[in-house]
Amino acid sequence: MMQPAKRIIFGTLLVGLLTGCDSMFTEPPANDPESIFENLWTTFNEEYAPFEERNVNWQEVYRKYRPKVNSNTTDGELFKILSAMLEILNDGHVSLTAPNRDIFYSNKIKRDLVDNGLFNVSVLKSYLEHGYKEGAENSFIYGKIKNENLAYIYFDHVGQNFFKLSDFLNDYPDVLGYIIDLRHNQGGDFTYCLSEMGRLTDQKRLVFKSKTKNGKGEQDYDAWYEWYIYPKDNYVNKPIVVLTDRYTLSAGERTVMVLRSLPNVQILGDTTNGAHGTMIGRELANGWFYSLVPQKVKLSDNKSYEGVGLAPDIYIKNKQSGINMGIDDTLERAVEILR
Amino acid sequence: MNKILVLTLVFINMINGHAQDKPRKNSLGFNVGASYLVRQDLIFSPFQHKDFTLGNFGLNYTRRASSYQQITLNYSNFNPMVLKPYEFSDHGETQKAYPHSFNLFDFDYLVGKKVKKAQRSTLIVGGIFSANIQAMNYVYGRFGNFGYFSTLGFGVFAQKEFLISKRNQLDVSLHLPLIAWLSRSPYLVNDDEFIENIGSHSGIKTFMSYLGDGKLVTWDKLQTFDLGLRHRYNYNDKLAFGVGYTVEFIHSYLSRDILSFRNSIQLSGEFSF
Repeated sequence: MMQPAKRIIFGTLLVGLLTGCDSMFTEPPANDPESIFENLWTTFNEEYAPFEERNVNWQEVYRKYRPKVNSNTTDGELFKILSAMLEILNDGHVSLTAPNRDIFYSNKIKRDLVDNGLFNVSVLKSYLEHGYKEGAENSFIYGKIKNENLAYIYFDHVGQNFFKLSDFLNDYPDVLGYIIDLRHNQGGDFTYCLSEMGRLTDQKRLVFKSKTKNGKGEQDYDAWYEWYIYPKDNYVNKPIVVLTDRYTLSAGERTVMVLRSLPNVQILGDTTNGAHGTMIGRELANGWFYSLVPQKVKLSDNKSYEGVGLAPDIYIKNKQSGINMGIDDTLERAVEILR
Repeated sequence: MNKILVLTLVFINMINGHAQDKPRKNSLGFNVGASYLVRQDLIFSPFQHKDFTLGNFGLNYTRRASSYQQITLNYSNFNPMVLKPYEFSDHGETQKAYPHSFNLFDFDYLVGKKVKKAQRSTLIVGGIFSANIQAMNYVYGRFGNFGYFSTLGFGVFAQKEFLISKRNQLDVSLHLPLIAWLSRSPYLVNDDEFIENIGSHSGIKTFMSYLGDGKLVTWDKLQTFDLGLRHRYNYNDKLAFGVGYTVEFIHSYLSRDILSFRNSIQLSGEFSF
């Protein structure tokens, strides 16, 4: 074969062999208990936004938990230590996932399923007239309340199911009022609530603002970004009662923020979870995953309710005994308000 | 009857290429093969994501006339993971942690001219428009984050063709984008602009918005090249087969560092007309 061709072949193969040499990459965290602890703590330190809102001194957390980890710490022990550290944040967006283990949720309500039984989809369906509509896996449920001139809709998350809101409003144009149930709403993509709530407003309204970390420093953030709802299609101006509970989370809470901005809306139920920022995932050298929040959120009153939640206008909480008998006190109260 | 016979013979000879000995200017080709990716994107993870795939496919069209033109389209899919897929549970309900999914699309348009022709080699140089679009789904157990990396660049290319024997040819090529429109996921995966882009709930509009959020960069912010080596066997004047090896390199430190190497071995076929 010709000399130039041989040289070129050799050169190309040499380039190929050199590609992917480890030394060219940023050194990743090592796969040992102490390095894993340091990696997780440091990532939170650099990327997690709402320490202040959650009253957590992350340096203090390091001083308390770092001594518990050494080179002999087992996987089980490390999982417990990291979980204990994340538990302090009590954040509905923070979790830790490891092989053959139950996900650890930082937020106590999510973790221990506190009062989870006070909301029951079968019970709320019993309040609806025959012929109500529902999506796959209860993504939405809507219909008319039995013996009342009121219409009800439930969303279990925030996504494409929100397209059903317009159908719902079109199906029941002549009712006295609407109940929008966001209890146990697990969140999702809040842009759907902004795009689909347009029929409920006759003017542009500021609903919340947010800013995201853009560097490792404590004050490294983008500028505040304001989010609005805009009027869309046929305006619907009827009294609305929104139902919330401690499991109304994330994009579910952003939906509550949107609805709170409307003058014809009352919020009924229990305070929401208080997990407002966006959530991102991270991975550890041992293959475990965790999630954190890189964003701060404030409402139109310029206050943050991260870690606090959005309080209802009227507080009411179901009783387990009532639910067991098929009674949803919160829903019944909403009916009374609108009747 | 005689006319029909003559026309038929002429037609048959045209198909077999005997009627006139014209060089074939156009060719359509495909390539399939294996690829190995090593990629570290500090926006999403401090770890090198490595995966080997047999899912590497491409199509190309080449025209050799007064100028040399080539269009290539390539696709690969990779599914790297730090650990192998594993089971975990969510309040007792078993779920599975799956690998990440990277979808890589490449489009190149080359225009050049022969600048040096020796007895057994030819050098072609020219300009290249190169589009490199990468859509990633980073999976973290129960949820995932979308990531994107895209370059639309202009640069130069060089291709040296060595005629080893009557039927065997060796090609070496270098694609070197020098200036590009670089679009990339935000510093911490998503920010308000990123989320606003999703708000159209239209794939095309979202994609165009992501591209629109990019910036113009040159070699100081983005270093990328493709180096290729291909052996081609000309079966006849219409068909050729080959085996090729390509190295793709990407490095950028806009926002956060990304370093990526993709090594591919491909079998190819080409039809000239």
